[in-house]
Amino acid sequence: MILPLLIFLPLFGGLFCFFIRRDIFAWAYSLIIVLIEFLLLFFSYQKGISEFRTPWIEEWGLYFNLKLDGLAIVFIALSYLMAFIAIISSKEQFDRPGFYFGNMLFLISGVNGILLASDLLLFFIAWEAMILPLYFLVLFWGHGDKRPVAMQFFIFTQSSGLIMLAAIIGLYFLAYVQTGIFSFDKEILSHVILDEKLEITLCLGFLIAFLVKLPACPLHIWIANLFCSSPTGALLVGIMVKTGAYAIIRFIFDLFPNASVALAPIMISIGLFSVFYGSFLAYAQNDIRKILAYSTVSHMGLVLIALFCHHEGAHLGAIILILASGISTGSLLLLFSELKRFDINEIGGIFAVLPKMGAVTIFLVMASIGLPIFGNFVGEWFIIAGAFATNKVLALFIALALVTGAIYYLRLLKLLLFGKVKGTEGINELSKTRLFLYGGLISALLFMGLYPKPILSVLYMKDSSKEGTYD
Amino acid sequence: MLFLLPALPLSGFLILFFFSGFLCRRLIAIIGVGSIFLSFLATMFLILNLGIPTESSALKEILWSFIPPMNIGFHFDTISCLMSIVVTLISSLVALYSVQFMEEDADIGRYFACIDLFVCAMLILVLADNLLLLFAGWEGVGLCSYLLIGFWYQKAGAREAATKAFITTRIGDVFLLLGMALIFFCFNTLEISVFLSMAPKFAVEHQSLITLAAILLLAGAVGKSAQIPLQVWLPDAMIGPTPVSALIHAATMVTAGVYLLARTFTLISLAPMAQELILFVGAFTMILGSLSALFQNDLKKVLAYSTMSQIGLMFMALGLGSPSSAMFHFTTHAFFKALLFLSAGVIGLSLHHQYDMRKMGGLVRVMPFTFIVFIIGSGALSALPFLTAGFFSKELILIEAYHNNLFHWGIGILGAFLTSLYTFRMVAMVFFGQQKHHISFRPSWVIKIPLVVLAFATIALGFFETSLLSFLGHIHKSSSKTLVLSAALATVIGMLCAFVIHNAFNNKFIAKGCGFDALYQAIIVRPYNAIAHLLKRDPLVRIYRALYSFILFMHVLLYRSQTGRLRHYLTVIIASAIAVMGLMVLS
Repeated sequence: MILPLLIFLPLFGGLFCFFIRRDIFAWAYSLIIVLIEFLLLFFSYQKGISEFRTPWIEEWGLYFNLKLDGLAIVFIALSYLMAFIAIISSKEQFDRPGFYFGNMLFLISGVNGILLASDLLLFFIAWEAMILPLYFLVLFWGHGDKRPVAMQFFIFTQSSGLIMLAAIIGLYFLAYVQTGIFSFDKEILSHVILDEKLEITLCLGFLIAFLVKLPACPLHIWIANLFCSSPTGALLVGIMVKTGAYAIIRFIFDLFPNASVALAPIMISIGLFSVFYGSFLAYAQNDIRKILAYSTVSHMGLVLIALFCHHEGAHLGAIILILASGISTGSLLLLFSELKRFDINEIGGIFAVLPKMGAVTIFLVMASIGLPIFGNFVGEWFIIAGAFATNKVLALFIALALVTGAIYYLRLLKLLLFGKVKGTEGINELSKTRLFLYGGLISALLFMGLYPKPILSVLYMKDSSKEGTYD
Repeated sequence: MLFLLPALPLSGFLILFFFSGFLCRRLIAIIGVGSIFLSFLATMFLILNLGIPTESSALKEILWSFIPPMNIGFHFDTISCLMSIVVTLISSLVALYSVQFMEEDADIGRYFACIDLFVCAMLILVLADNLLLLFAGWEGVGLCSYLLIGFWYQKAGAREAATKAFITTRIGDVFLLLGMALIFFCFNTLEISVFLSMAPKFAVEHQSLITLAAILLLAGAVGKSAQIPLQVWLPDAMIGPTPVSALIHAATMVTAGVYLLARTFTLISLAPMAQELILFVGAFTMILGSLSALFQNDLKKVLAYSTMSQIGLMFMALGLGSPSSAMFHFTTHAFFKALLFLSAGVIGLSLHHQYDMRKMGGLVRVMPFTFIVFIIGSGALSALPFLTAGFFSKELILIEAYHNNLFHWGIGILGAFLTSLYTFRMVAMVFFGQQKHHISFRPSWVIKIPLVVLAFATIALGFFETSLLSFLGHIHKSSSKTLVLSAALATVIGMLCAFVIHNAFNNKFIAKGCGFDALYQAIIVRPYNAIAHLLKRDPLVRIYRALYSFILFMHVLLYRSQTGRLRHYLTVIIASAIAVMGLMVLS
């Protein structure tokens, strides 16, 4: 019974939150809900892999099926962590606080829906439902020219979602033709026999939606603008981005095993293109937030490559990289949101004026660059080792991506941290609470980098086919 | 017990990182120097208790399980034992020296924190029992050098030099990472002793893979050790504080590459082609480095290029198949290069951070102490016969070269000649001639002690040659008097030439490192920037702009057709009806 609670507690909690007027109450309330969710997740983790099934609209074959396994636990834990930080750091939310935190809770609910659903229509509903709160967050609390940005984001995700819906319905009817039952259940749909062309078409329908969220070039346009306009709370953008990769692991490989092999060269090319295109763009930007946005494009390109290498080690690396880069990029986004100016020509020399902030930046940037002892490196290492086993030239390109990644991040450090002191007026040095927050995040990255075994044991929990670990 | 070696400097780093704001300068210095020195004491304690570990009695210590079956663990054998002594001893001396050198710097806490972390990373690198942990130390060293080269980040060019060092070495690191992936692919393990023992059997069937692995390891080593083609960062790195240069050149960082190749030598010796390549890279770097050193006017840059060329000599030794002589030369080099850098630092302090040799001269009269230690270091660098440790270690490599190929021996002799030429050119320019400055600086004991210890070690090491070599398992090759004499002669001639023609070396091209910088600017940096500039506004946005314009166009088209006039609509309806009917009739 815990699984539906993971979705409905933040959903109804968010509805209730709308009616809270005082900012501090809304803040504390949403924080408590996230903490309860953490506890619930922990309980269900101790039970091992669990499932929840109940009919929803039986005539259509629609079931409310949820499944929690190691992969979902890890992703949900990450999303809670991000939500926790986003809520903590927006304590001074004076403008319509109830609505603000309510939207955040909605977002958590939607993300949980995506991560837990094992019924395709339910998955689709959660996929679409997640967009709305984010749209509102940007529209009401965003910075700058937010209206077109919110619209652009909405159109991109919505239209790609529509393509996925078409593919889902196509699969649904094909299943009916073959088996005689109406069902959206992933297990049943994965047994549908498809001829090659049809399988590839349907697979592409899913993939477009996932690639938009990932985001992969050339579907990445929305992310740079969104990073610039989103309020602190849209740290959750980071989470939303992760759902794209999750969905690929969860649905593409199970539903379309042959097509995912056939499409692998194309997907790997898109990934490679994203990696380098993102790196070059990040290097050329002057807006700090855009640098982070394009670095996300670059990292996710790497994840895409790793996923389509069809190598167990590379998959593992992709998952670890998603988690680690989620934390590192998210923390950087949060850290830089405290700067008052974002143009790198207008601000610089932070290290001399604000040494604590500078030190935190160095740590986080080094983690993002992929310095060993941080989680990101563990992911990258597994990806390279995995890619090497599949294709040596590909591994070379991935390795080069580590250099281009270092180039744009070091440019950022050079200008923002060690440049001439300018534009630092009005920026406060990190408070003690903030320091603890960032310290915790950096420790999490260190933990993943130095002792990744627990994460692996969660990922592989009670799954007899993959018992043991990858070496 | 073994984990204490890196853990002590690490704890020093942690204390300084978190609490340096609350500590007084004296305490910061004590923690900074003390933590490294304790690590040295721990090393000595370990050796006194266990004796010098050999291949069979190597100490192993597993800390924790990383990803089964991979563990985080340390391994203490002859090479790592030698390395840890040298690293901890020299680092603690350099740290002690820094206490006065950095006296006027406000940010001494950051300085010592970085130094401690640097030593910690280097010790992890040295002691690691698997390549993944070694790589962690490897990258840690890169990070610390980045932070320390850019320590005075307000100084013009410091940030650029730091960034350049990081990215250039990163290129090498990436190849090392690929090499690791290949080794993992071949042997399914990264534990150094395990895959080395499996390598000979594996090489029988998969010679090409082993060769590739060896070349990738070399590419990694080339970056950190500043060998051609990735040597460009080293001269620029001189912008950091002088003790940092001493540390980078003598104990940490650039020696990492030599260590990596010596450590995995079993694998490299299975790939003759890679060995040839190492020999070539080493010889080429040695000649290029010593030529560039000859044309420098900056004291620190002479030393920087000389490190390049000396490391090149070590690479030659590795390429000739003698890791023991490479390690021996590494040891002597560590001491005399630290000595040279630190005494150059004293000169710099006396002349208000002036390192241009053209503005020095006649310092022998005012700085006799510095002169003596500097001349000891210079003697060792140029391998002055029979007196200095440098002579013995260089001679070993020359003998190896002689037995390999007369041509290689000739290159070695040429290198020795050039080395002695630029060394004594430096000595002549700095210490002799007209005195141009008034000196008031007096080094205190914190500066003198490290210098004296290093000078003593530089001389004494020569007398321990045989015992050191037997620990390293060196196989002596026959030598003759002619061989030794000709090497000695090359040195002496170089020295004499230097005093006669020390003003004759002016060539911008060679002084700038023979155009490598300009070449990389032209073929890598500028195209990279150009591409980035081209993509700055994200050209892919145009696809969507075009789509948007198309939709807008259709919208306008349809909107315009809505005129609201009946006759327009009628015309269209009738025209289309006729068209449709016409089509039906025709088909």
